[in-house]
Amino acid sequence: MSPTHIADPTQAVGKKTVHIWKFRALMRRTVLGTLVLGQTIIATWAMIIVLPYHGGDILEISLAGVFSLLFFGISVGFWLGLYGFVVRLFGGDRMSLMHRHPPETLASVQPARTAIIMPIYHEPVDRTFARLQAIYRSLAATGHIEHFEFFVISDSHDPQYWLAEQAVWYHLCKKLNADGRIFYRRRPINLKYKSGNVADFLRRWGRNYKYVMVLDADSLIAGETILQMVRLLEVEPKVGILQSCPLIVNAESLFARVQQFANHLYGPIFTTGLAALQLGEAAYWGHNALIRSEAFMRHCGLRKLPGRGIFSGAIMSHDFVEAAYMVRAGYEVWLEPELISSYEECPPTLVEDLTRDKRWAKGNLQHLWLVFRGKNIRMAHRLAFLNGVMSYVASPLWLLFLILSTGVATRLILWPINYFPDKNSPFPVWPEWNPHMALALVSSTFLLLFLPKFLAVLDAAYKRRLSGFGGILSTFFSMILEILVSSLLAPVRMLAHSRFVIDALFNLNLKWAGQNRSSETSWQQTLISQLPGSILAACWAGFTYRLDFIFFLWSLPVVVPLLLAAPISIILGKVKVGTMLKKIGILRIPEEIKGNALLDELVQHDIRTTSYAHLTVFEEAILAPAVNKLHQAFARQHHGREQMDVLHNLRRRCLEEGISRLNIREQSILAQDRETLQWLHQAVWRAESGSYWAKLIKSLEGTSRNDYIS
Amino acid sequence: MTTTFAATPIDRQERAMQNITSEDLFDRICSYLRLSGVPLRLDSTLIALELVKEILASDTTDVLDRIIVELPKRLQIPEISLPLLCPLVNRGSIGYQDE
Repeated sequence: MSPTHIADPTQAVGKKTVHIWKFRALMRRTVLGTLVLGQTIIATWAMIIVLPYHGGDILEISLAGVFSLLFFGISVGFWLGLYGFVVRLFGGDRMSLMHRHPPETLASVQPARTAIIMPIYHEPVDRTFARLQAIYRSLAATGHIEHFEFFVISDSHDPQYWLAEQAVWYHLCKKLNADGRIFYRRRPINLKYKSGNVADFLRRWGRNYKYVMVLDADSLIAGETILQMVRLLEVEPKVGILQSCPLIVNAESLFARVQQFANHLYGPIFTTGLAALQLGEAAYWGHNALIRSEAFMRHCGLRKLPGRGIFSGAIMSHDFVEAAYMVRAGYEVWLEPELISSYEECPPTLVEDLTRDKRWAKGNLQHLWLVFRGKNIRMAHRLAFLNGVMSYVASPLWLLFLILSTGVATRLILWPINYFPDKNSPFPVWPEWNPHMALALVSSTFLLLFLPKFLAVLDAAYKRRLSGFGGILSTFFSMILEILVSSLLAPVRMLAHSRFVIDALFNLNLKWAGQNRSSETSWQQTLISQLPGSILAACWAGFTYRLDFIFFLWSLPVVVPLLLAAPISIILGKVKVGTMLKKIGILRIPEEIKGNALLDELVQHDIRTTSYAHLTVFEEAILAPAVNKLHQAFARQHHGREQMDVLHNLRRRCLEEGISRLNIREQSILAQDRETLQWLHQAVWRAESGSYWAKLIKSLEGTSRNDYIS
Repeated sequence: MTTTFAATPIDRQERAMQNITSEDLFDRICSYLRLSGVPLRLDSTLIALELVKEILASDTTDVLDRIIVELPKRLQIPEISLPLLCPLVNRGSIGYQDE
């Protein structure tokens, strides 16, 4: 391991600094808690005033209770945004790691040996490796590549994916002359999802590296940023995890471009507020973060949950838990919003976004076990777990709020008036409707929701970042479009998340799958996903219309998006619409306008996964001599008699019928056996005229080849 | 490391080649060379044609087998040198705190 220039790194951060940040954290959290609680109490009181019986019965008390929970969440978001705005206005948080160490001091720190790992699972192979290539090149450009080694750790089990991964890994090593610097490892058994994959890496090679940078398949991070993070950890020995704030890039569909714009414009004030509140007890987001491997290996192993149903088995959203364990062990976890050039991508369509949310909903709900049963977990992390839970539970609460509101309105209109809702009180209560207070409440809620967005624009103007969004007019129109889209999506997400929470609580039908990171949504997919919500909305609208026209009007902001969910989802998923808006200057981001070396690198150095367009990856693995040799090197030797019988049978079928007649498991068995790969390669080239393989070979005549393996 | 066809014996019934034309044989050689990354230039094509001629003139029944054995001897098939797949394992353990 390379030594740092600091003889005793613990001198760099004394006890005093630690106590100061802990004291500041306590102060900040107390102030935020007071403001949020105070605001929630006032809003709940206003809600009670608005209700016809002023909270005089169980229905209205429930309604006010649910409202207070929802308002609490909105209030937290508002104050975080406002706080982040103020912090940025005054030049950033002086407590942050970046502010403690001036760039010139950091630049002289020698980086330590670091592994950059990219866990993947059924990801688009060419794009994934193209990102890795861009990161590698960027790091090489810093002149410090000798301190870094890259690992692609795959959990893919479909050979169409992992054969392509192996081939492209080889290609990349050759192209970058990175033999012995970029490695590939595939786990045949995917225990504990991504966290299991990372743990598997750490068990094998973790001891070789002082730090491990964890990436996602869609991660992009500049070499300079990685270097800066390694140096920060070198001078801050108590920091166990350093999390950067990845910004969304490469969005093409309208849906993704809206998320991307919001992330770039509003993100900085929210992440700054969050980081300033959490300080050394921040969360780990599972990627674009640097971890101290020894501390992580010693303290962050994740046991399976011992409970029942959802609270049993592997922890799906592992990252928050690992951060909590790291802090429990006495280390610090920092979120550093000022680390730039850290990127990720977002799902291209609403359907894909909701599919991801489905996994996250269950993962976050599992954290309830740790909130109540986790030993020695810091309060900050218990609250972070609760916040994560609330980000999904807020949806069924909103749904419940709508049901209770409908109940209150129905009772007021259809039931006889009850002048004595409280049986113990001799005083009559006249139900009254207070429209002014209702409007004031709705307006203040909207203010809390939207004011931070306008503060973010002010922040961008103050920091002279508006030109990056195309100037004031472009920013304004983009923001209006973003608000419109997010308002349309809110009810759709509400209904979907409610279903996910119920599914998760009853442990229904959940798969951990790779993401579709590029393609558009079909009508069929969209209708399957959105039709139930639209039918429900139509029924509710019909009921409210019959009940009371004013109430019907109040229901429209929820009903209309749900009714139009399918076409909205299709339009939002269109790349053409996103591109068109980009052309006219709407929803652009600084990286697109001002350019970015890392993103340019990604575009310029594309990687292709197959050499013949009409051959599948598996067919090429069998036919192409060099590719066959490569896959043989990855494959294993099987000896068991039973296994050999299965293999012989599958070989024969593959030879006679072709690969497409075998299922994924059968293909996998074949492609994992070294002798089989060799046997098939020889057999197919000897295949009789007219056979499946002979025809396939015949079809290669006259086709051109990309020399991606040569 | 050279890629050859000759390493493993194949079931005789599967490799029997009947009624193969010289054109089929030549095409198969060209496809193999193309997939091996050998550019089909005049010299390599002439060698392939010569090989077809020789084999068809001989009394062998397993024409493709012969082709497969002879081809690497006559043409330089590019080798692949595999990068290091993974470093040596340096086993460590993951610590679990009691929950």
